[in-house]
Amino acid sequence: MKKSHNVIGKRVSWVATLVIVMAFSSAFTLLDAFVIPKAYVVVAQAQTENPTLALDEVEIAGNASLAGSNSVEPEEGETLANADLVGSIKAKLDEIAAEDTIGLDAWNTSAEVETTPADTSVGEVQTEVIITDHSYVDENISISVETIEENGVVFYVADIQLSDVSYLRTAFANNTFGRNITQTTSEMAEANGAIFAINGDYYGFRDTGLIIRNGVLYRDVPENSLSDQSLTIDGEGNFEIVDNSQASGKSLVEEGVLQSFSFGPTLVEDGQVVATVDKTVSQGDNPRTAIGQISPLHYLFIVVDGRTDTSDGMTLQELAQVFVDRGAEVAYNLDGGGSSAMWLNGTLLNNPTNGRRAGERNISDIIYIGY
Amino acid sequence: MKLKNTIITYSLFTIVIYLFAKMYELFGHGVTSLWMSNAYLYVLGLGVFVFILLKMSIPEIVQQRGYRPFYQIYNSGVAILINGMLLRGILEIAGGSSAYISWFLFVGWGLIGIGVVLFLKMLISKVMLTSGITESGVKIENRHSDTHMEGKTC
Repeated sequence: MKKSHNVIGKRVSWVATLVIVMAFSSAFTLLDAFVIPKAYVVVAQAQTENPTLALDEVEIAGNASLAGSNSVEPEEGETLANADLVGSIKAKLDEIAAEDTIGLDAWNTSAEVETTPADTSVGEVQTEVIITDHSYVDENISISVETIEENGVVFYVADIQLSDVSYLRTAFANNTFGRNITQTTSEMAEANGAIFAINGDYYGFRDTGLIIRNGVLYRDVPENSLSDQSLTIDGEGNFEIVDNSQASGKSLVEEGVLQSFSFGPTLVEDGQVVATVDKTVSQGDNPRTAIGQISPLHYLFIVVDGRTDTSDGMTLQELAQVFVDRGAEVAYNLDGGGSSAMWLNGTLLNNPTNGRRAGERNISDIIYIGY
Repeated sequence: MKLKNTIITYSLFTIVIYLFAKMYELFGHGVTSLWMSNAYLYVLGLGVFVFILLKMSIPEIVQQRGYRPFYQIYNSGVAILINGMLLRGILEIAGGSSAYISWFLFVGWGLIGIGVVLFLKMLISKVMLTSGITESGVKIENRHSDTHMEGKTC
């Protein structure tokens, strides 16, 4: 009888110990993944003081010249080469001027105060900024957002034309590269003086995925939990899909890549729908965010509302078709769901929700248009 | 623990984990994770099938010296492995990742491996004793294998 008690006691203590150890280790893992913030690099330091970064987890090799070039305005020659583009933007500007406009006082954009490349290189074009509740046009940037309601889905298509890739930028929450460091899209957009912004790839929720932002390599660990392709934007502003297995962050930066995004899947390549069924990215109708390129410096940024009574959301294939229908050659899916957000001229355009609670989600990064 | 009870416990865990995975994926907005959806198969294979096999082939193994360490280490390994798989599934469905997950899998498989080694050692010992051979290779006549058993209840 005594021995039997002893055996049961040992068994219970073994099970109890195992349960306690597993509970604590699981709780720590989940807290580490979802809650505990870890700052790796402050962006200002990364781009100015120490372009070659060394982190605990990854080897970071920033490119001093690229980091520097990204923070300055484009050279005169580069901008003049876009004279045709500036002409088309001027035409768009005149067109919008005829429509209802909001006074410039309503929008205190940094574009009005800062000296832009257009002031020095395109002197013949007068500095003029026209802002409506769905557009922004000046001599370098043209943004027009169309809200579309179709088949029970509400989505927002931003047609963006730039005169230089330097206006297509990215930002981290709190200007810090790290894990679980988050802000809303609106907060990041305002903090960076953005004209237009959408959510990025939420890199800070994962330990893997190639991260090059504004010409600086922050993470050179191939993605292994989401899709197997990343999107890069080179110094000419062109989108390119790269295989994670073959992508080296260091060489990409040396080749002039300014931005990279690791989420996916790729929606459109060579003007064709290539979105496949990827079980690690939600299928079915969901809120979505994706970016695509039509032609040099001409982009489509699309955000889809979903999980609401007014909008079901889109499948990846449907979203890819929207890009193809509008002439996109390349398009790539970014973080969606509750993260999907589009912000223009100080206003959030869409209705973000995670299906349970409405409102913007705190995320790691944004893609924005601004000076 | 009796083999029968162990089999029943593992069977219940198989059902619970299967239902948990299905329920979790139901709220995952279409995102699924093979780690989570397949976790129940590991409980079924490493738990239910293994112990059914033991009960059918060598039920007296529970009385063998060395069974307790094997039992505890092996089951700990299965529990930690399944825990790691479920955690990885949760993170995958949320779109995240964690470097710590691989430790769960590493420790889980490691303990299962140690458990298997202990089991094989126990099995070899049992065979040798049954045939009357000592570990040093000396054959002992008329020695009963029960001398190496702890007399636990089955």
